[in-house]
Amino acid sequence: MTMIPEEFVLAAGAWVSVFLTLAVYSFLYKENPIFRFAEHSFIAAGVGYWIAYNVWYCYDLAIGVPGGESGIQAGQWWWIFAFLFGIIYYFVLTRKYFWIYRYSLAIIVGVGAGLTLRTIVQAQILSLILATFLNLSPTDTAGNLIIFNPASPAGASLINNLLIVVLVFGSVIYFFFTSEAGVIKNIGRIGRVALMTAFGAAYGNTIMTRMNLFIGRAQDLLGISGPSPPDQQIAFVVIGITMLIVLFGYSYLKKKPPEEAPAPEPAPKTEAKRPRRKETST
Amino acid sequence: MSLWEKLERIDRRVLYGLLWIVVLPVLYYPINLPIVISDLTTEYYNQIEAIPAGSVVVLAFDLGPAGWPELGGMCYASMQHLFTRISETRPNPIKVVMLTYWATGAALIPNCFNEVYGPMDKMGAVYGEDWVNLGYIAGGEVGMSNFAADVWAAKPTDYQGWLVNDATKLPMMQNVRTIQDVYMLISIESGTPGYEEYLRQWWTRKTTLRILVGALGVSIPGVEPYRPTRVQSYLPGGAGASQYISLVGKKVPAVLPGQMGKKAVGVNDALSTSHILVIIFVALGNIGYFLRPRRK
Repeated sequence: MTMIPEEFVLAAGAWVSVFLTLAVYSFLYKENPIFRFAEHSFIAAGVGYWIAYNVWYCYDLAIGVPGGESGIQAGQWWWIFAFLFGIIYYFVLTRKYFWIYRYSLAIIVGVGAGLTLRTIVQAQILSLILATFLNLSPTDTAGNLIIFNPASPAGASLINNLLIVVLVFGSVIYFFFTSEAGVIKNIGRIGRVALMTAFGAAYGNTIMTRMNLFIGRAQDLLGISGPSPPDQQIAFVVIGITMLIVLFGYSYLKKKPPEEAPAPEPAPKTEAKRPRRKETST
Repeated sequence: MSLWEKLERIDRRVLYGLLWIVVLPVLYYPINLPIVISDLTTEYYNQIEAIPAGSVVVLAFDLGPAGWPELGGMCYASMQHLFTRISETRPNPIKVVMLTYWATGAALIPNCFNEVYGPMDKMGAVYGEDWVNLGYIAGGEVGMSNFAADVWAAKPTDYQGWLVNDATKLPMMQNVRTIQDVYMLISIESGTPGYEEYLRQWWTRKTTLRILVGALGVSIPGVEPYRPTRVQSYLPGGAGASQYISLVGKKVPAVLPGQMGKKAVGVNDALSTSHILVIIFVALGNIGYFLRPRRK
């Protein structure tokens, strides 16, 4: 069997990755078949990859490997039930026996809910509450009150802790709809400002993530990083120009009006309404 | 349409074009804007520095290629930092277990290792004795629960099919049986399952477990409330990655590949210039909104 040279594999990978990246970015111009091809390829490859890894994992775990301590090969016959419940999941595809799949689903939902509910209070709810119970007089090692620490702007200080307590309290009050009292309304306004600020910060973080993704791809397209920079650079230029021509051509063809306009269809004849039959009492 | 209304309705393709223009030059020719190390990054770094000799650390690659541009730098630098710690803590080195609960993360572990270190074991760390790659563990949160209760049962083999109970091939795994044997979890992640599932299934079983998170920028508001009681520190997005790479680069300059260092600086510069562009257009959009003539 002849081995494929590594250089060829790297070059092919570079061309494919550049093509798929630009194909996805072509959506920024408008919806087009090249984008759809890349989208479908991505989903298909992702599903295939996911299935392969999961099947492999299930084989190792449930059937077992020679010398291993788990699986049917190691005498753990109860894994047969796992296979059984896995197989009956496919009854979701039939109309007649659809109900059978619910047994598998019930187990999945039950196990998931049980595992989560067992620990969510300790791990998450309590910690989120505790995060707002802050010391309003934080001190340094010498016992002095820290009003604000410029060296550690996000660290514990009177201003930071007070802000957290007031803004969390205001945000909770904002969702307290049953009272029209002026004090509640005013505190709610503070909460609304806090929520808007938080959404703004979250939006800023989202922008940072998207920019990072773009910068990462840009580095690969430009050959600054990646497995085969020279190939990536050539592919970027060649595929980029080709794709631009194709996209503009496609856009032009889509805009071009048909040579002969189809004849307008005659208006449908309107029929007079039938008189309603009188209902007869039986 | 007035100028202000036009400002609010700039074609998105113009913005994308401008984004290329501001990002491209600094990627090719980094302007070396200063990288200010945040408290979070310093704490992340210090936590790894303080791992006691002989401790077991789990490095989880819970991400896929879509999160790689932002989190890849953290993966490289964390792996490099841990391997440096292995050599520092000899003769009783720390043990590193790599795994992923994301199928798409399985291929990233060897890729990351090969890209940073070239041929395996170049750092002097021996596979099976000092570090192990368990690969993909299915089941998400259920898989995490299984792993915490019984490591061998949850993952009988490593990524290349070697049995974890084989003392000749993977001797370090003989002392990793439950979550009680793990000192620290470093989860570099881009979604679910991630730190919340680890908190529910791992931390509740061992409340002294130290947790570090490499988070996407979009996940930062979610992680922050858990710090420092549950999560000791986290790296916030690409900016955090750049800061951490520069810290690790100062510690082990000979190991940090030139391309990666250049990439980190480039990312930092490009992030800054692209954010300046975004800020300018957000400001212009808002000015347009407030100054345009109101309809009665």
